[in-house]
Amino acid sequence: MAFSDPSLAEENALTGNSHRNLHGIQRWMQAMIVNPDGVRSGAASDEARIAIQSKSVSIEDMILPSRALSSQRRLEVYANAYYARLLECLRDEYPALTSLLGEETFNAFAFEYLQTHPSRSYTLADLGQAFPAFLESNRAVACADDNANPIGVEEDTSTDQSWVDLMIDLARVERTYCEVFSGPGIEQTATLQADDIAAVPAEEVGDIRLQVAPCVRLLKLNSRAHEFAIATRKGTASTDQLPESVPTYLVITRLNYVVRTIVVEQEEFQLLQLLINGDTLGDSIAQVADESPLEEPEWLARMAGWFEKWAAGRLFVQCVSW
Amino acid sequence: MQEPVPFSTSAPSSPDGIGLGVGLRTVHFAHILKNWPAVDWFEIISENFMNCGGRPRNVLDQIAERYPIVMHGVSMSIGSTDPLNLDYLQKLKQLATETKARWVSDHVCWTGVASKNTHDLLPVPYNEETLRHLVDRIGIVQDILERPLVLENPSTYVTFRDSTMTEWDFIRYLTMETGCQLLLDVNNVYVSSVNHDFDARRYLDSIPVDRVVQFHLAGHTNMGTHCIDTHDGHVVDPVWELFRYAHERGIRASTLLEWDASIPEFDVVHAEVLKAKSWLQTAHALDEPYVINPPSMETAPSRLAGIPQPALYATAEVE
Repeated sequence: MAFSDPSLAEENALTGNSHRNLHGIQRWMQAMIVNPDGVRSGAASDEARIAIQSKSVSIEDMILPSRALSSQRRLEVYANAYYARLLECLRDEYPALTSLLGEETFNAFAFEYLQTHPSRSYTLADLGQAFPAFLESNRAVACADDNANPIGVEEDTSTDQSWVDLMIDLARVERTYCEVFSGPGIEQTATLQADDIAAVPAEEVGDIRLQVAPCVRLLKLNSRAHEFAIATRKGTASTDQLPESVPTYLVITRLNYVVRTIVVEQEEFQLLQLLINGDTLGDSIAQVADESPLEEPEWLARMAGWFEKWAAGRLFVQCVSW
Repeated sequence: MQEPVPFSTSAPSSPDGIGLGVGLRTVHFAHILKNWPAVDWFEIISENFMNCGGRPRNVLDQIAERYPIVMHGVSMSIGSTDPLNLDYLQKLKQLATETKARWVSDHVCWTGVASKNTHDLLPVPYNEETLRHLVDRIGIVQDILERPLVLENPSTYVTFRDSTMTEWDFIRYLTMETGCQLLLDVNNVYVSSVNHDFDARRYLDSIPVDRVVQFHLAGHTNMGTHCIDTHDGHVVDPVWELFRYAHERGIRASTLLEWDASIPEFDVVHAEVLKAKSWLQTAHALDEPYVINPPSMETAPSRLAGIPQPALYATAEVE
């Protein structure tokens, strides 16, 4: 069965065009619309020429004009939409970072990010996954970028570092918020209570391991960036009052489908790290206690408080011994 | 070409299917859970729920207990020359099972090649090679999903010189060869008719009446020289007229209103789809060809770039 309309085929074809297969056309079109310098540059790119297996193929050779738009303008609808859509998604994922940097500067970073991290997932939820690591790997560039410090903080090396620390911290916090929000949770699961540990025979307590809830993440930051991230979401953030640069230890989790941020002490954070890494309760406590400057009674009292807080925060789902 | 797939149809038995539905969007979650509005059914964006264990999925589960659910995807990339993503298809099937989805739809498009996803609904050249390619892939997808695939005509902005048939012929052949069903987006027909200078009624005349299980209606942005499928406003009268024309042609299907940008309150969105009733009560065909008018102050694009859909992202709730 023949499906083609001979008159349409004749009308559309360019004289002398060699056959272009579907794969080549798709590679060509993608090269056009993702090119950072626009579709004209895309048309001249090696990628486009290789896709079509021709030394020179113009946009007009591939795309028909309409009555109102040239071939190039028509293709630019897709090219403009590609970056507009993905930048919008990244701004939605990183609203506090966008607020801190200003939309123009954020877009500049995000645009560069998309050049090296185009989406390879079926879901836009994965688009910003590597953005914090991208910013970290471009720390030197960010330090040198005057635009990345738009509020006119007096610039010296330490200030630059603090500013970039805050930028990267915010990205890490906001990405974590997204992952915790949409990842697996404990809403339908029982979690570990103080009584569960009390029920373990005393001689076995040191050997148990705690299984962390799947929504729990630990973040060590160089600033109190979470305060700005939360304030942005509440509409109360101000770039006149930026977070303090101070080592900050966070537990991020989800309760009743809402992401929660818990600020913890350094020793508490270390203990949580060890437990989450699978060390036994006894080994974990011993290691942190050894490094603590506190006397044992005071340290034990503080640790008891931590366990109560963890139970209330539903950080662990069960204890296991093996 | 493959023989048509002998699936039993999932098309609803009622003349107008499961009625008038609304696209489920996160901004309406609280309203829906509080008021349980008298909407006939909801359509979800499949990808927003496939890997989701948080509130969106919990809300969907509650809604699926009370309303019929239809799944609408944007990343199947049925027209791409990249291999089909089998993991994606299995997750799609799992979600369809868990939500008791009435049907599963996507678009006649590709979203990327070389393992990239542009997250756009990119057009294919309409020719025999593309037709064979899609027929083969639709067959594989239908085997995996164990149900007919429902495919939507996308809004498009370019015409390939390599096209040797019209979009409406291409889509008709697809249904003939695969047994797939159609989601007829009337707004997309209108947008494409403006962008490609064709008569929208001719398009609708070619659509096989018995294959359409769903209509889409939405707003678009008139850019003066072309239209963009932005889903950010009311359905314009020429689109309602086309909807009525399709009905007069005998197409009976469930109808859904999409509103994805500048989303108003739920009641506004719901009221928009309910307009379908009054439009279908006055039946007369179009007499005049459509004329694209330059944007006035009232109809100027609400967003400068005019981002075509899809541009959907669920924002985390944080305290």
